Amino acid sequence: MKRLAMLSVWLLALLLTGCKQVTVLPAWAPNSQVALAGSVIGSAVSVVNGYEQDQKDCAANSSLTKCPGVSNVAIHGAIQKLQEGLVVAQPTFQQWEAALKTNATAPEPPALTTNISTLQSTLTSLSTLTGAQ
Amino acid sequence: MIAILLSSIAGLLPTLLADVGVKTTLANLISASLAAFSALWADFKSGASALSASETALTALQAEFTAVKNDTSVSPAVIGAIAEVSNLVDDALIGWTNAQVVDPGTLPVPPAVS
Repeated sequence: MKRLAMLSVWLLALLLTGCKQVTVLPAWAPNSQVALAGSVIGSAVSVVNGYEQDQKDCAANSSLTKCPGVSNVAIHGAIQKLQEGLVVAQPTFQQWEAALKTNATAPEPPALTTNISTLQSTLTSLSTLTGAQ
Repeated sequence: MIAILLSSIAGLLPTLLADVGVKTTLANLISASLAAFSALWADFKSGASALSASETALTALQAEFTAVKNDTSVSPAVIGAIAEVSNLVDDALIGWTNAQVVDPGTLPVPPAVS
């Protein structure tokens, strides 16, 4: 079972980290580096918000199929870690975007690089925490 | 390249996993998951507006998940974990795809997890 869960999120990690650059640049992104960082943030935000909704659904109906997973302590901890990472990463990303408007070559802040890596590794860590049977 | 890799793995996995004792229904779910992610990735990279390949793969994934749920030999806790992990992966892919059109810099920071 752990192998199953590991595989699912390994795929996620592969998608998020396997390519060094985004091949189709979004309209808002001045370069692929920004696009990749932004895409990771977008994924993490969606995961945290999705988990919150899953919790609400299970609070309303505990018989839902997903609920044993939603109540998993390790998964909850990983999602908390994601949210905490976003608290730091999102403002830094926004500051970088603002800097790029006046300097198109503004480098990615080192702190943001670390933050994005942490978000990626936290997403991957879900695979080692879920479904231990 | 990723799409090709995932598709190749998807075809081989059921047999490989069966060899190490993973139930057929779960192995098929893994295989379908890989195919779905491969299709989503291909669509994402090509910028396809009609995600027909993804819809086909996701439909197949849903069918496999239904089979797992109907497999009475699989414990509810395992099924629950599969369901939630699947949800989270879906959420991540949706967020990734949405980032193509919505600047993630404009997204509000999610509130603390309750």
